[in-house]
Amino acid sequence: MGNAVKGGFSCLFRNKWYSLASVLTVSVCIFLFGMFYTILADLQETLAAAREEVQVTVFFEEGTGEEEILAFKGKLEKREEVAGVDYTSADEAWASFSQSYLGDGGESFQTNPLKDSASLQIYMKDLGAQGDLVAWLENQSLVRSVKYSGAAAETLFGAGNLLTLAMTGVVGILLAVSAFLISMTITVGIVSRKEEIEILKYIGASDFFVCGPYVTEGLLIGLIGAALPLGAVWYLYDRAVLYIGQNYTLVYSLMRFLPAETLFETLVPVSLGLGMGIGLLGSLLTVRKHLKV
Amino acid sequence: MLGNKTMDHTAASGSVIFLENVYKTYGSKDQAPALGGVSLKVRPGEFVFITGRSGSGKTTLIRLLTRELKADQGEVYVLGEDLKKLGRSGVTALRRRLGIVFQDFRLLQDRTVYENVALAMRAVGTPGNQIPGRVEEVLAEVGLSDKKEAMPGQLSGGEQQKAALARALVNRPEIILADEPTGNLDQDSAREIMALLYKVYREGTTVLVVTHNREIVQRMQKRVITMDGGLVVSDLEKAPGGKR
Repeated sequence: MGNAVKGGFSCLFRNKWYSLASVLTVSVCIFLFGMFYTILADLQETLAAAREEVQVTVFFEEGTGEEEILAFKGKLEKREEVAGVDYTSADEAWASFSQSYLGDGGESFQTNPLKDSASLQIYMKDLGAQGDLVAWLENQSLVRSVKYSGAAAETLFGAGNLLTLAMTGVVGILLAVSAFLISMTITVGIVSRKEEIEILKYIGASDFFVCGPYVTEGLLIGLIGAALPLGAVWYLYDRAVLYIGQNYTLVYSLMRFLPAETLFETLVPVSLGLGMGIGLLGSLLTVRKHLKV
Repeated sequence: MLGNKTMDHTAASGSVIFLENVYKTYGSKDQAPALGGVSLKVRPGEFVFITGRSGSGKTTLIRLLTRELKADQGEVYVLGEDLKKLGRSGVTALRRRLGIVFQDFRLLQDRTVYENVALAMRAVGTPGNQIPGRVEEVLAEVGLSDKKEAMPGQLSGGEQQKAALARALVNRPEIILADEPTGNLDQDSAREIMALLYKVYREGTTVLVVTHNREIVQRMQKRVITMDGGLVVSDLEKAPGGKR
């Protein structure tokens, strides 16, 4: 074990150029991953916020009592595609309306002119299912009318799908780029390590003894290679959000920017894991080729 | 079948190296075999030369003995181990009992002479406190005490081969396998290396040297196995025409 750790550090410094090339390879991959992750995470957050705005509002037939409406609400909340349901009573609807449009003039009304305006606001978990839910609602006997925006739902649903597709595409491209860069680095590694591994095998070193330092070296390369771009991504993200806030107020008001701390709660472990995984895989592939001496 | 195996093993006993009817072909089977039915025996404590022209099968023989290659056919026993049955850990264990010396030295160029030799001890799990003393001892044996901090690139060919020999000797092997150890050296350095190998033999280690240097073979007057076309064509207790 001591040999693996000590040897790993020695390898790292002995093969300076190889180490540097490997660290840069991992750094480039993790940097690209980090940048895309922050952009996509913010887009997703913006989309999620927009989805919350989209709602289906249900009005009830004249004479439908509050208990019936609340029972109906309970039924709706059990549906899978529904994220949540809010109840607005007729009195709340009138209070809101009169405050908004009549001001003090609303007090002159003795009875509630909107007495049959109690409604339920339904928030969707799955916007794609909005059409089916509306059709179901319209067939319910106590439902008088259903208000919804089909266009908004469709746009957001489409955008969500596009984002998923973009994320898959970006991850795919990043994997391909990583594989290419790593294979190039490994080729360099193979040439410089071939003789060393062969000699070790000839003098009776076990596979563990041979692999140990390289595995440690790979993990260290991955760790350093991931830590460097994480710092860069943090700095650039902070600067970019600040810049957009100062120069593009419209974009800033439309977008939801997650705090860097929130993003990095996921980005740090995923990137370090990826970096160390890439480093480990690279080392093992390099060494494995020459173990059979 | 079992009877045959028992017989083989019995035949191998008393030998540190035992080959019977060994075939080895590189590439497709219609190629001429590198070894075409080699049988030989080396007893403990012997000094043996393997000679022959290029392509006669000498290096293939060494590579079979270190289990870098596997025989296509026939029996190969080294230090009582049936190399056909040896797994990866078995090969590692066997190599720890051998000292291997190459024509091109195979020293790690980015490490000092001391580190190259010490590596062989660390590789077999020798406790750290036992390493410096033994490395110093073996470097003194080969006359490289004053060059222990030098990098291989700063040494002459003869000195590099001495360092390689020190690395082969440091774990006190039972057999030294040397493949053309003087092939890259001038006459004086070659003599020095052979003198060191002779000293190792005198101390009881079996030494097998592959060489095409006739002068050395003549001078040493030790057993000489001559190969040609993948076959053993002669096996003499002493080189013919020697003066010794």
